[in-house]
Amino acid sequence: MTKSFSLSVADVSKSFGPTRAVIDVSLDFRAGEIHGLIGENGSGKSTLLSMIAGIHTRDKGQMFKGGQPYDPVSPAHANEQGVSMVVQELGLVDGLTVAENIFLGKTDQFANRGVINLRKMHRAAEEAFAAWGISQVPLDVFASSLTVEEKKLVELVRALSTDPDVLILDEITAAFSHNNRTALYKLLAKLKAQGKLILFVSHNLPEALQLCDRLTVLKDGEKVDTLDSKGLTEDELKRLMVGREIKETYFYTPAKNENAEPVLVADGITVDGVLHNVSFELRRGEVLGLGGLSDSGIHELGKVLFGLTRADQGQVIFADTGERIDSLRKAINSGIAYVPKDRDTEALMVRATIEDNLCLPSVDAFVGPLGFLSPRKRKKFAGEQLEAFEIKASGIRQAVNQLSGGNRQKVSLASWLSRPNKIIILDSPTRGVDVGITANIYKLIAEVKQQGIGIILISDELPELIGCSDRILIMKNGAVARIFERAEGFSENSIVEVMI
Amino acid sequence: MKNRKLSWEHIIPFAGLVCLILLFTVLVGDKFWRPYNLKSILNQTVLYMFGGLGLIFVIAQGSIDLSQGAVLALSATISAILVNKYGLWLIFPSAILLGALFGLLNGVIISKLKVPSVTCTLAFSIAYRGLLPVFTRGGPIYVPFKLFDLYNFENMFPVLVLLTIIFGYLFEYTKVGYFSKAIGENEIKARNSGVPVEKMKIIAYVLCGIMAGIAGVFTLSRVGGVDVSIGNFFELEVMLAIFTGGVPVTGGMSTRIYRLFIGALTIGVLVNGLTLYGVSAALAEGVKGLMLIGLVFLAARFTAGKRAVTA
Amino acid sequence: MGDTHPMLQRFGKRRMQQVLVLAGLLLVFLIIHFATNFRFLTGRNMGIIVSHAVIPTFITWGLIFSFTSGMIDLSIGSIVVLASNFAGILGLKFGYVGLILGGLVAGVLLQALNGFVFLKTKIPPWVAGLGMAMIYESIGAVYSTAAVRSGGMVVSLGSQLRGLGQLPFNVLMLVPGLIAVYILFCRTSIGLNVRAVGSDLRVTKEMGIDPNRAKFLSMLVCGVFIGLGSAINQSYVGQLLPRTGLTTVSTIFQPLTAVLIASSMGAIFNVVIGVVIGTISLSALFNALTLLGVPSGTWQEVVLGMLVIAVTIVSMRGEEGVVK
Repeated sequence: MTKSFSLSVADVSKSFGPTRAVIDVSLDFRAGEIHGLIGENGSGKSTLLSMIAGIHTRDKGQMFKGGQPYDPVSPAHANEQGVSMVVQELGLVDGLTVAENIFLGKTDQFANRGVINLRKMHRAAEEAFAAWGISQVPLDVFASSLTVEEKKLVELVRALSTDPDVLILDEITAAFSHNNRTALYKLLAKLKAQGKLILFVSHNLPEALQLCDRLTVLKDGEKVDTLDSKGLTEDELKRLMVGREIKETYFYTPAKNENAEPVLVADGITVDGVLHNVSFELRRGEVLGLGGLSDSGIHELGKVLFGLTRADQGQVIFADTGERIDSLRKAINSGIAYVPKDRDTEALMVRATIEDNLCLPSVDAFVGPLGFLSPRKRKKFAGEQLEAFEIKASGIRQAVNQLSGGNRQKVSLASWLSRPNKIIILDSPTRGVDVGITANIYKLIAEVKQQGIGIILISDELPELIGCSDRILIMKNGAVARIFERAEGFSENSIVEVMI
Repeated sequence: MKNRKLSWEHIIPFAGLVCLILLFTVLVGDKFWRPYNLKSILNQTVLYMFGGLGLIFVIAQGSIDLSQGAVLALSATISAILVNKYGLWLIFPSAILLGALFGLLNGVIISKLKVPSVTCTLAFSIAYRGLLPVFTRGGPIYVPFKLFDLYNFENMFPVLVLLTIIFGYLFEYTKVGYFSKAIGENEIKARNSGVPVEKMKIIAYVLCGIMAGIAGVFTLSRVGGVDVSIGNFFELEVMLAIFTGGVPVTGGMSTRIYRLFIGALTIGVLVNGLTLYGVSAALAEGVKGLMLIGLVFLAARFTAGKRAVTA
Repeated sequence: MGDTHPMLQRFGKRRMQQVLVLAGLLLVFLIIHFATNFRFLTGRNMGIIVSHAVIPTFITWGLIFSFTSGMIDLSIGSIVVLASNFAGILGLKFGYVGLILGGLVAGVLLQALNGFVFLKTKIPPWVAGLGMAMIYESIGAVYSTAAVRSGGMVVSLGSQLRGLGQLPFNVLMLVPGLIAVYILFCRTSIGLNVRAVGSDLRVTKEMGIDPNRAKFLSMLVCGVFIGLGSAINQSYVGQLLPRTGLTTVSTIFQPLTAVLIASSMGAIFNVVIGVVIGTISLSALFNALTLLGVPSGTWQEVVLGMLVIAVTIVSMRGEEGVVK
């Protein structure tokens, strides 16, 4: 039996800095199948699909489409070769109308001497909505006025409008209501019957099992297995997704006092559309892990705790003084530190020297009479921190943008940890950081904990949360799903179950 | 490689100044080196330096003040009226206070209401210049003869030294300067680190206004009075001086006071040399325009690091 | 869920808002009419208001192309000066064809040069715009001195070719102008792409559009409208003396205010129409101020400056990001 693979990837790898997002993955996709990709956050699904859709270029390996080498350099280029993708994040231009969005970059087909025939374009859009059985969205309103679900529908139509052989859908159903889901399933069945290939990512396992012909499980950037979905159970899938020995070295030390008093109390925090009635306590000297899927609101919660985002309802109380933290100033004065996820744009002055970066949050410590900021004290302080945090650099005068990602992260952490804190909020502290420095950071977290400081660790990596936390708070759709205690023993399976 | 880039960044402004001096020595020879001429270069330069001592705080933050010339004009005009009414002693207090007030207005609107600094200060510049005829009522206003004595190097130099010490200290050795540079590097990081960003922006514009006021007093002394063209172009000369000294448009930690002085001297020499060589003021404007684009472009290329310059 | 189609609902709401805005404007005009002893809403005065709005309207139409992609070009005023004079020179030789062609050629060429400088040097557009303004003003002044030295003046149309700048032709020019700018901005890939670039750079790039190409093309289109505006301007004033000392920079103010007004009404009116409403309202405002005895060149400048700031404050409302 000879099978014609409509698309295949061979030994494809991709790294972002030291992070190996996809490692030597080989996959054959058949025409006329719905192929599901399953895995945790950071397992490499989106990266793999982005390479196929031309958004990222691979570091290594080969791709073939219809037997020919396939090397898209841009999404538009992939489009020309019959590959369309609806990405996970929102992909519409807010300032254009719906119809303009659908045909952006492809409007020449409606143009007569350069002038676009709007009626033709609208008719084509209407036909597309109707032909694919997708509920119509108004065509002449700005994309900014649409709901998330409507936006996703438009993106779907845009992807279909080029009549692709390969359609890639990255977590599209999460935003869909029941009837649109049903419509999508019908549509996919129809496309499948036409011999098209559909690559489908979903965190909804029952949906994936029911919809897909075959499923590929990815884990830590590597392919675990490709299986026929017939006869497969959810439990088997979950085991494949998470069953791993923890490779990284964690430096977990039990919290000194299991029942320490709280240092921070969150009470019914609500941010419209993002967080719903979130309540918890952070205790002195504990690491509280915050985990959840990408739309769970964990990163947003970190910003609320630091006073960066205002809560619409509820409050954050700093227990020592009973003060309500509702502004950045109060948070900083109460001794709360926040290391944001977006390191280069929010956590560092990348063009400036290591010295300036290290000194900025602690600047009050160098002020003498007449407001004199002693350069000598600053230099000494920076030199000490450089050594204490083992930052690899030519000296404190080196610009931060000449350092590796890991060392940049160390500078960012050091600038905060070197000042007197009561609470530290770390958002994805090991993102884009190599293994050695990751271990270093875990060690730091453990040390800081021993000083009686309360730590909130926000992370997309479950093993990291399990390895470092005393308690893990799992969020789902902006609400607290469950808090796990280390005493009960963290099991990856049970946590994933709550998360998904 | 990296260190070489860093050193280029330091060398270029100095080299530019030296080249310009050499060029004009060749082109206009003696006339350039006459003591009278050198003194007039310095006198002109001191005004740019006054303006720059204030503007450098704003530029360090990555913003701009295009209203300095108009603030100079309006505060000098109102001060001249007040001085004629109430006596000469009022000149500095009123000019400084008015400058500070106009600066405060800029600072509050830019920081609290999030109006881009280019738009806000340009709009005020137009508005203040629109107010000028209201005060001058068509004719020039003269100031007492006594004030004329102020505009010579022997009087201005001590003032410059004093102000340089105060503003230099504030800029290089206190939180105000340090925070301003941090805002220019990364406003989000600065805010997260506890820098009172809004307060710092207001302070910077107030300082900018104060220095425009002081420069206004010396301009009054030079011209002997006020007419509607007073302070025309001032903000651009000052800006040009700072950028010529190698300060990037985006501001940040590499903004240093000494660069202002190098830049101001370069602009002083350029303007003087072009005039001596017989180039008209209009053509000199074109040369300055070319220099502005060229120098900002070069400064962005040679600043430590490679962050792209964006709007 | 209502019975009406959601599309119809949105459409009806928009119509309603359009009527409301226009009614509000009419109400303001009526109030001014009473305040000025019934001198405001007369046929003659309306003619003056619309006439004064024509040239700013053309400049503003040009400006939306560059402003949409985030470029504030402070050299536009100096380009108008050069393009007007060039239009005048060609106009005296070739009549109206020369007048319009001269404005167009100068406008497009100078905007092309600006586009090249802005996009190649990557320095902030406002700095580059200031620099270019200084260069263009200098060129204008050199031309002016050369003309004086050879015993004459800068080009003057005298009584020739003045029709384009007068009623009714200047107002009639608005009609083809409106159609052209609407087609270019809303119905061609030039306008579409530059609107996309200005709104969301990342997605636009992913859709296979080259942002620099889109910006450059939009600068050229901007040049077309500035050139047309310059030709009408030359016909209107007859003779335009080049100015130096960056006095041309303030030319951008009225168009900028109109663009900000138009984009803040973007959900109600098409921005192209919004521009016309903006420029006519501004022209009416200054006209009313003059009727009320507020002198132009002084307090009116103050009003303009305050208006720019006020409109910007409104359009920046709810802005969360860093503003420099």
